[in-house]
Order: sequence, then C-alpha cells, then structure tokens
Amino acid sequence: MIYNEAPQNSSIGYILFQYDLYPEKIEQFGKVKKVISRKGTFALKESTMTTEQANWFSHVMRRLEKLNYNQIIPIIPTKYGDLTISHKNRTYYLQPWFSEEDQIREEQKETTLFKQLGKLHGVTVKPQEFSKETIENSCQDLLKRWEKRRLEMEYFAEEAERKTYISPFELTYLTHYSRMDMMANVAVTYLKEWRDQCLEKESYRACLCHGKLDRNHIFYHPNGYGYLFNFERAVLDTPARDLAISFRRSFQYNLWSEDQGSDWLATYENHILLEEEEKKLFASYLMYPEIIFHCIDHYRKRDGSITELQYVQVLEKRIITMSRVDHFIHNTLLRKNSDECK
Amino acid sequence: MDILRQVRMKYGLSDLKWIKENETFRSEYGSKRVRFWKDKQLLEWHVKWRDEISKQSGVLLDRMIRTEDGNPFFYCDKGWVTIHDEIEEPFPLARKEEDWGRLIGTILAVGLKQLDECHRLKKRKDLTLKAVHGGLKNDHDPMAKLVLERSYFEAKSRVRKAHILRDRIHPIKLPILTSLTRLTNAKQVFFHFFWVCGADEPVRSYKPIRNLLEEWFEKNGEASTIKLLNEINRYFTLKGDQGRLLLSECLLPYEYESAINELSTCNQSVDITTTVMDKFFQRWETSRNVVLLLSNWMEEDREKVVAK
Repeated sequence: MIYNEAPQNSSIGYILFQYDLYPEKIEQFGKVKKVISRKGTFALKESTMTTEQANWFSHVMRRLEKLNYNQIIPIIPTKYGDLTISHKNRTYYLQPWFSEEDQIREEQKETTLFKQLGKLHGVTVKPQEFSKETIENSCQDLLKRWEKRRLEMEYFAEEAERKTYISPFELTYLTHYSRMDMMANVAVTYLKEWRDQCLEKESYRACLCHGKLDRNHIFYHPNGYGYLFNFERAVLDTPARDLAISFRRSFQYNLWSEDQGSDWLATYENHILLEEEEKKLFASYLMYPEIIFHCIDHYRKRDGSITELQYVQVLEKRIITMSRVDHFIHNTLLRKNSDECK
Repeated sequence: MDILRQVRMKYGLSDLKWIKENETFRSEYGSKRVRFWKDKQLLEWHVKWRDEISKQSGVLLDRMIRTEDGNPFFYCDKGWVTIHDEIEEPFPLARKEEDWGRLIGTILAVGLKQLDECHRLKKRKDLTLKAVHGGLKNDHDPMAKLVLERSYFEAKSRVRKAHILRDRIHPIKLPILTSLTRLTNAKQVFFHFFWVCGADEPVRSYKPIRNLLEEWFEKNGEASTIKLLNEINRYFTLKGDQGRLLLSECLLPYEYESAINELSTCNQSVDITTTVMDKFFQRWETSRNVVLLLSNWMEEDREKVVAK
C-alpha cells in the first residue's frame, strides 16, 4: 500500500512511484536529482522535451539497445515499461548514478569521445533514399542562414569603424574581419561542392547524431570506456554535421592544435570513413566562423559579468582556433582527400 | 508452482506474502494485485488500452507491471497472470472535476479511435421494451404493477426519442469503453489520480458514460456534473453528434427493465418489492434529471449564438 507519508513534493512522489522508488534522500544538481534509495542511487533528469520529442528519444534509446550499442548510460524503464514520464510540461527519465569518474588525462578525453562518436555513427549509418529536393533545400537553408549571419557581422564591423574611439574588442575583431569574411566565403564554396557532389553521386548518408556531444555528455568510467548520455537532441542527420558540432564544442577546452584535430579525425575514422563529399560538408561547417560570430553576439549583449579584457582574450583564442581550423582543413582533411585522388 | 514463487522469479520482487490468497499480496514495494486472465486477446487489448490512456491523460492507471524481461504478463497453469499496484486511499470526487474530465475525455477520445481489433467486445442486447413489459405478471404486487404499467407509455416514448436522435446521425460511430461505473475505483497516489480499470470486456456503447454520469449526478449534484461535462469537453467534444449519441443512450429506460426483472426474480415479499420500487423511482428520476441537464448543456452554446 502506498501512503502519502512524504508528499512535500507530490510531483516527485508521482514520478518515483512509477519506478517503485522510495527515496531516503534526494539531492539536487541542476536539472538532475540524485535519488538515494534502498534499490540504489539514481539520477532523475528533468527535461523540456515535448511528448513527441520524448517518444523519439525513447525510440532512439531502444534502437541503440537493439543495435547492441552499449556505450551509453542506460535509461531505466518505469515499472510499466516506459522510458520517460511526462508530467506538467516536463519529461523525466531515470539513469543509474555514476560518481566514480576515472582520473583520465585531459588530452585523452576527446580521443575517447571521438571514438564513441565514430562507433555511434558507424552502427547507425544508412544510405538514404536520394531526393534532389532534400539536398537542394538543406543547402539553400544553410546558405540563407549563413548569409544573414554574415550581414549581421558586416554591420557590426561597419558600426565599429564609424566610432571615434574603438574598443579593444572591436579593434581585435576589425583586424581579423576580412579574414573571417573570407573564411565564410570558403565555407560557402565547400558547401556548394558538397551539394554538387551529392547530386552527381545521387546518394547521401544519414546516421543517428547525438546533437551536442562534448565532454560534458560522456561519462569516463574507471574501466577506460566512455559512456554517452543526454540524447535529448538526437536526430537523424549527416555524420559530418554531428562531427563538426563535437569538434567545435571541443575547441573550447584548451587551445586546440592541428595535430589534435588529426588525431580526433583518425580516431573517428577508425569506425566510419567519411565520404569525399561529407568531408567537404564537414570542412564547410568547421570553416564557417560561427564561433567568432557567437562571441560578437555575447559582446553585444554584455552585462558586465566579464571584463573587456576577458572578451578580447576569448575572441583572440577563437581567432587562433579558426586559423588552426583553416590549416587543419587544408593540410589534413582535404589534403588527405586530394592525395587519395592522385 | 505457487503463484507468489513465480511472481518472485518473474518480477524480482521479494518479501511476498498473501493479503488475500490469489488476489492481493504484500511486497517490499507495497501491496500488489494479481489478476488471472483466461482470454489472451482481451488481456492484450487491456494492456494496450491502459498504456495509451495513461500516456495520453497522464493519469495513473492500474497498468500491468512489467516482468524483468519487460513483458506485461506471464503464463501459468491458471492462465495468463498480470500484476498491478493495489492502492487503498480513495480519490475525492468533490472539486476534482478537472482530473476526472481529463481521464474520461481521454478514454472517450481513445475509445472512438479504436478499431474493432478487439474481438472480445461484450455483446449488447438491445432494449426490447415490449418483451420487458410482457414480464409484468398478475402475481406482482398490484401497486407496483400499476406504477410500471403507467410508466410503460413514458418508457416507450423515451425509447422512441432515443431512436429518433440516433437515426439522425450517419454514420454512427461509438467509442469502445470499459466499465466506468464504480466511482470507488478512483484512488490516489501522492495526491494524483489513480484509476483501477478492472478486467471487464470492452463494449462499443455510451452506456458506461451514462452510468458514470448518473452516479456522479447523484453524489455531486447538478453544478458539479455540468463542470464535469465542461472538463470532458476539453478533451473530447460532446457538443455535437457524439453528445447526441450519449443523450440517446441516456434516454433508454434501463431502470424500467431492471425493475421488472428484479420483481420477477424476487420472492414477492413486501419489503423487497418496496426496495425494488424505491430504487426504480430513484433511478427514473436521476436519469430524467441527467437527460434534462445534458440536453440543456448541449443547447447552451446554441442559445448563446442565437442570443447574439
């Protein structure tokens, strides 16, 4: 019999009842509740996924299980077999609580991450039914978005130039603006090359993409393996995009080097080789200076929480990263490609 | 093999002890109910139906607890076995129209979309008033007989009106429902609604809703019933053909049939006849009130439009 003995939060009671969990202690860590019970310690995640998204999320997790991809932190089903619970416009799911993280070396973290990403893409990749419209539309959508962003940045540059006293941040941006603009143009060229090659080959591939994988979404187990989690934004998409997202997100942890990029790509490609046109798309995503533009967005909305000097440091670090990305693309990614062609 | 031993193996539950043998047992995770099913098709329909209603409404139901292998039932020599939560704390009726409306509205919406994939639908006998009336015998209590004879004409008129209403609708599509009559099947878990579905055969009819509305009306009165209808209407529109089909169902004089049947089977003692007739008067009055309330409620919006 279930009595309402501890109903300070009836929502939690409603959710944990469906797992037959009677907590001894609950601790809050952001959107995650650590639930300590006789059954064990669990992580209850609260998410903003809609019912439709939650259904897709459940489908993804079940599919990965079916494919025997077990490098993920499992979702514990309710006693009724559901992987998620929808309650008051929120979605909840339960996972085992892991706390014993291995003392993994910093540089090793991304290697493990790209290994797992490669495996994930490798087991789920599938050629898609060719549709000219899909290729054309996705290319045009991206071109439009990029052009809009580029114009915003051009406007920011023009505004800065008109000022009598230019701030150090603006000066740094203006110094590198023409190179960033050129990189945006090169990204567009690669994107168009991807489109043309796809249309010529009349094929393209899609795989299950995590959508936001970086070291915050991987658990480094003492056994040396990395276990992925947070598949809330998982989608079926080209592997190039997901790889580019993880590359970009990984740039932030240290001053990234070209050699590291080569290692990451090689680790990834041990599990799935990128097609020639996918490399072009990957290159275009990386080459487009979104991380610089993103920094400008932050600067425009600055609230004094970080100083001008810190903004300049962040921007400079990102500009160096973009230079290295440029080298990585031409010296490693696409060079390997052209060497192979020879 | 003992059922509890099998439950222990299949569900990984421990500390099991019967509260009532072959019905309810205690476990480390609270009391559970065991249900035996002879008909697998009916069981599978119930599993699917409960999962769907619970997911769509967010209301907890006595869904089938999964085995460690993820199955909603297992087989034993007595048939198929399912395990459910056994909750005792009742859920209130008063000021809970919102929760009830969400559950009933979702049940209706899901019920209407259901295909006839369940071949275990309970056969519905049409009300044949003439045959029922023929059951009135001379040895019945003269007063009771007189009342029922007089009520026959009104009952006939109700059947005629119900048919006229129903015949105006083409095609007639009725929801598939299970019994909703026992309001005491409403329990609560941490202040949340928990509905016990039972194991009845589903029926393609508005009868379960009629029964529920009548019970609700008797217990909570007119204002609460209107509130309940408004809440149901948020999830399933009752101000159109489906509402008219419900009204048509509410018009049918089942209480007349029950009274004659009960009089025919009882031993004609004065006490029992009085009880049967009192129940008849009460049910007749309730169904009259519910029909009035429902038709006024359905007309409400139309009147507003006309008034504008």
